[in-house]
Amino acid sequence: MTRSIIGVLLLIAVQVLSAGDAPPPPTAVHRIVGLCYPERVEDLKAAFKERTDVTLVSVDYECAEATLAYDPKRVSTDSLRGIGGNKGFEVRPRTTVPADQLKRLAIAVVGLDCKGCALGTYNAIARIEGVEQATVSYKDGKVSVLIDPARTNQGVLEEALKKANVTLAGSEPGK
Amino acid sequence: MSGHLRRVGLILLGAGCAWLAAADTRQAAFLKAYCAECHDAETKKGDLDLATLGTDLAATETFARWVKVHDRLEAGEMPPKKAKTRPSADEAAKFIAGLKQSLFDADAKRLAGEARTGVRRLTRAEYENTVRDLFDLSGIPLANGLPADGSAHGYDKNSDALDISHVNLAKYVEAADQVLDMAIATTPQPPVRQKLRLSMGRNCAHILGNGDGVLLRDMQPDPEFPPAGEQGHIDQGAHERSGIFERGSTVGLFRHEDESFKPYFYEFAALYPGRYRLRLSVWSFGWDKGKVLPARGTEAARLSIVHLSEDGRGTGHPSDVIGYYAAPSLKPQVHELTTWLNFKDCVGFNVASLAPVANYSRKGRAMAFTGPGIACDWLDLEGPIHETWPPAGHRLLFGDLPISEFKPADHPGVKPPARRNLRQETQAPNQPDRMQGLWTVTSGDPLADADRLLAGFLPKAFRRPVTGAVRKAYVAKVAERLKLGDCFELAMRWAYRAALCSPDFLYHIEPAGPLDDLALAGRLSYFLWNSQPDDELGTLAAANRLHDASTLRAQVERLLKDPRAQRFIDDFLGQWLKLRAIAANDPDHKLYPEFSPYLQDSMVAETRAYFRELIDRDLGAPYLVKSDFAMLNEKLAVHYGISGVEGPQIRRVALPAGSCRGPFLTQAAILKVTANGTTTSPVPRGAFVMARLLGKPPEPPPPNVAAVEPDVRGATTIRQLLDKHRSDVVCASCHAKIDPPGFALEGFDVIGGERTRYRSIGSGDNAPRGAIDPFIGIGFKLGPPVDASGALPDGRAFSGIAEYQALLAKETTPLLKNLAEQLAVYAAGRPLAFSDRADIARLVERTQKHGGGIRALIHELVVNPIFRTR
Repeated sequence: MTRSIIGVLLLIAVQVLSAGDAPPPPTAVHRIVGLCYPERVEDLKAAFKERTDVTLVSVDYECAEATLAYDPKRVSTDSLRGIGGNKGFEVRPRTTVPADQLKRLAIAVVGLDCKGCALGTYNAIARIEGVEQATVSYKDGKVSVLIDPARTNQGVLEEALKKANVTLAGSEPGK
Repeated sequence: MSGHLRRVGLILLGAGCAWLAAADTRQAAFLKAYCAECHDAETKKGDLDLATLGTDLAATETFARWVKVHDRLEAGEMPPKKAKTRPSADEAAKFIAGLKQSLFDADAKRLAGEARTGVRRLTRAEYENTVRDLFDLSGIPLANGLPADGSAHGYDKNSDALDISHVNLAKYVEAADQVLDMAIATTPQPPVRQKLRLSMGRNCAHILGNGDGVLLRDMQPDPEFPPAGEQGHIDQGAHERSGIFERGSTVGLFRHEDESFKPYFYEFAALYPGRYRLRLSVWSFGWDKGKVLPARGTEAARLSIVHLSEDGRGTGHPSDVIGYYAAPSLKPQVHELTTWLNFKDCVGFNVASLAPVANYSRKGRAMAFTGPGIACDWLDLEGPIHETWPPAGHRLLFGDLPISEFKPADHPGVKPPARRNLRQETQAPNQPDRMQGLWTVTSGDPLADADRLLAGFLPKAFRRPVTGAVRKAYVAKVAERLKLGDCFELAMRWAYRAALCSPDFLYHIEPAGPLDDLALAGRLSYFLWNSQPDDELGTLAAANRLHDASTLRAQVERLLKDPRAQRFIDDFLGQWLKLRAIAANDPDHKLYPEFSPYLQDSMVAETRAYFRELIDRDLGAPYLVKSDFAMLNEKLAVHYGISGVEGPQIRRVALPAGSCRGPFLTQAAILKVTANGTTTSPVPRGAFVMARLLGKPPEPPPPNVAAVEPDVRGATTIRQLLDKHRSDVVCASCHAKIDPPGFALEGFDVIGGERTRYRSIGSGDNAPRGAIDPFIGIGFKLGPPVDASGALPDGRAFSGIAEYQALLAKETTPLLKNLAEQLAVYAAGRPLAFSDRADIARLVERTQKHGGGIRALIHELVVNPIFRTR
């Protein structure tokens, strides 16, 4: 009887100790929509702080990618996609197009006054099919876009910008 | 029928104007000599045929005609001055005295044994105030949920105006439930007191993005959000998500509230009704294409309570103004106030003193705009504030009985109280407190507690002691409900709801004849507070000490000094001077572009403050029509052309010599309620002055006479039209009395501004801007000149308002008498009869002996038989 009690206690102790050594959840690299200027990295970190089921391990602003740690069995794709929704972020699968097939475009714009305008400009193009990464500088009046030329082109982007009331350099204000 | 009239009657009823077949040849001689020529069967001037006029004074119509005969003779209007023969003063006095006695006797006989004040229920305002005071729920909205009261003899407090139907009863049941829902505590602890700093930025994003406002930090444009320029800020949602509006920046606004812009603090919508403390930091500035400069002066910001639970005009919600607050130039001023918020109420803001400006469609937007702005730093909100828990209303109903968790398993077969699932129904982020379980009042001895609680509640609710039998009837209701399975709270609700819907609560219970002290307490408090007596009045009445002259005087003083006296002022002026109709029409925007809700609210505030001042300083009747001071804020002062007044607060301002402003007669509110929004007419204005200030309401217009319609094109003046109208003999006699006051007021337009020429939207000369805000466009023209001259019926001429005021101010006794009558009708809830004239005359005389002031008049009224008798 005494032996059995000691055995049970030992078993519990082993389990408690081994719990501290549980393997970390797997990590994965995702594309992040919403990283339109460098300060947005902090906003992204703040958005992830509200989640307990996903950990933001690192952010690669240049590539608009983040390494996330989560249990795929417990975190659905939809749940992941909506992370930081009220801050304007979106988590998407990493692009599969090889880097050497992507093309970087620079579009000059005028009239952007602030970070909000930069985000608005970014939102006008970031979700267009074929846009893999973009940044906006309201100070320089520059929109930098990495596209898959097979799926989109500069004309499509410029139309989208005009539709969003962004004035392209050399044209009349849209609104 | 009195002897005097019987004798006259015999004369009159003699065959076919057989005046000489008289028993009293002296009276007959008077009538024959001075009246018969015009008022016989053949001529019957003014539709009065003395030959056929009956003498049965019990007949209402006949009595009224003889009263008219009496009044015209007494006023000296008859026989007319141009008559060939007129009686000597002595002759006339004797005849009038005899007639007066006959009329008095007949009236006294008619009214003998009748209660003069009919049985009457509480008005909507009285009901709401009574509930608010009884349960300490100072903002519970009830009046608007009840059917509208009527109006009789000028006021809604008369029983003729206070009918009751099944609709009223159904609404009283609903209202009682609403009251009990709000009064009864449903948790052992008060709701968590929120302390929030609300910013306007998030709610103004689209306005800021398009240049109708700017974001400021340290009184300079916020570098993180530059003023909108050529392009404007794109994508409002992106700006909100970027967090730019959550950094506590100040919002500077140039644009007024309008249909597509509501500068409200939507970040908080009340979930728990109660008192909330607000602190608002505002200041004003001048804006010049991106630069912040000193303001042109102190501007006014408005706070309001916006009822998100109700639909309003256009895209908005109805709201009630809390107040107007000074925004000094480049100097933040913090205003602190406490207000009541109901479920789904939020706080609204507006740049009240600014002209409507729209930069969003202008080239260059804010960066091209130069003009005034009002900055709002923040609004601190704290509440709901409960000094005690459970709150006073709950303790009135349930005393100190414990509030415990109701577990159905512990109370098999007992029906628990229903609780509403409280949730935030607006977009505001504040959420209800987390509360587990169902909590309710519990009693170890329900019937004993019911008896004890009802013994405390019923006398307070019914405003008098309650017999044991009545109390037992209510306890029996509780017992019945307990037997049917209700929990204690539900059973008690039945009794309380029954009490709140009973005649004892809903009606003024007064004995016929002289009032006892309890009825006196009620009449006094419903007169000066428009609500129930408080404990002090109740205690004095219960001890039968209230009727004591010095005690009563002290109580009147106390009631007048109490903030609740404002309810009397608002309610009385709302009806006497028709302030309730202030928003009955919106002035034509093209003719009166300077009109604004801020001006309208200031107008009403002036009239109320002026009446308050007359009471506080015990000023006399001449102040009704002429004054050496006015109660003004900057908005009104500019409107009236008076300099040196800054800011939105109403204060006493000494008037420059020769100014006609100040008294009711020339207050913008009165001039607005007597106009139609487009034009003025001397007829309604004259009739208003006659009826409301002079106490001589004109006869209603005869049938089939077309109204005189002003010519809005400005080609013909109203005076020219009226001259034509008065050429008709039938119209002339009445208009000779009605028109003069109206003519004197021709110098004021529909919003109470002074004018020397009529405004026109047709032809005319270009109008100078005058005191109109430079940011308001002017499109009207100046038409024909105004002629404000006239002559009183007795021939005294005046050239304009100043001379008319001087003439009127001499009529001290008629002015005081009229105010005495108005207050008497309002306070006693009944019309005045012929036989009340002696009491009114005594009231006026005694008031004049005590200086003739309005405070003295109130003191004299409450000891007058009209007030002290039902």
